[in-house]
Amino acid sequence: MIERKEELLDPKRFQDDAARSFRQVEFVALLKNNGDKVYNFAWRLAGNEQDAWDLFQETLMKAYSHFESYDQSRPFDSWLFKILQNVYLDERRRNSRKTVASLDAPSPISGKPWEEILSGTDLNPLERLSKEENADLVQKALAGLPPLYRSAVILCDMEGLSYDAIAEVMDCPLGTVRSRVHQARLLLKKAFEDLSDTLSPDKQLQ
Amino acid sequence: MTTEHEEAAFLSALLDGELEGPERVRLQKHLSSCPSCSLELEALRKVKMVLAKAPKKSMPLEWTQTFPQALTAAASPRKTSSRARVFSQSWLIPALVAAAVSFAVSFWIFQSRENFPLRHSLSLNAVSAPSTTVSPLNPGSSQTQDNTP
Repeated sequence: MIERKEELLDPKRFQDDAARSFRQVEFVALLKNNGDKVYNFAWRLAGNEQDAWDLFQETLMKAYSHFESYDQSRPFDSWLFKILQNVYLDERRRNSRKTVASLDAPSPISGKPWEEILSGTDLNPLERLSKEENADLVQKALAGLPPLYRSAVILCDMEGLSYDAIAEVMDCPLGTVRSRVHQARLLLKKAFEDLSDTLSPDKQLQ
Repeated sequence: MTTEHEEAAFLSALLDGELEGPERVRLQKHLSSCPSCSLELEALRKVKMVLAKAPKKSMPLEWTQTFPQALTAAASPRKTSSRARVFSQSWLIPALVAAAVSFAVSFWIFQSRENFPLRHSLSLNAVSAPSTTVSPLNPGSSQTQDNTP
């Protein structure tokens, strides 16, 4: 009991506890302002709510444990995006049962080669899709992208990050970002066309 | 292939406002005279629009509960010793007490069963039962002594 009292009155311990509490408050405040964007990124990357929630929680824990290394002059959301993406890629590497799309792997769309997908020019289904938002189709189309392409296009078109910011998040040169965003859009265009074609006529987007 | 992609990627860069200087001027000039590239740019713009308009998810409110709990859980095991962790189990102490009581009661019952007939027979011997001794002179017969006055 005496030891416990001494422990509580220890100034070093008190300082540590106070610093920890302050850090938690600061982290939670930053998270309140940026959490939705980060969770949305997790959802779009993971493809479903359960995996998104797991990914989000793991990201928060990792971010908090490295919070001291966060540079306050940089955007907090970009910092979290970067951690989340690393967690996501690590998880995919660990879990070999999940298929990781790659340009070396077979094409995800109707058995067509990547070259054929990339050269598609038909606009009509895409025009139909753009008139009515269809979250399910978007999610399915995104799921067919290689992970790095998916990250790049989500960060660019859904989260509104600049190429510079994406390059920082993805830890790659600016030219690579430009290429990934472009390739992702070409793949998505074709995927939207194919997915829209598979809908029954009464469900097709008008 | 890579070079082609990088050049085609300038269309997306133009769309995103990420192309500046002479490259932008050159591409805009090319687009004005190339219908297929203009068509491609329009297709890319539509993809961008679809993604931008897609519904977004907000983080579940659960995080306000689960996150502080996770922080506490992550921080506490490093500080508590293994001994402290054992005794921090809420069910452990009552279980040990119950086990000790049960053992004590069982032991008492066992002892009672062992001791009671012995004490009973001793008391009968001491108070009323006649003691039987064997006479050295006549081993085949027994002699009863009445201790009563």
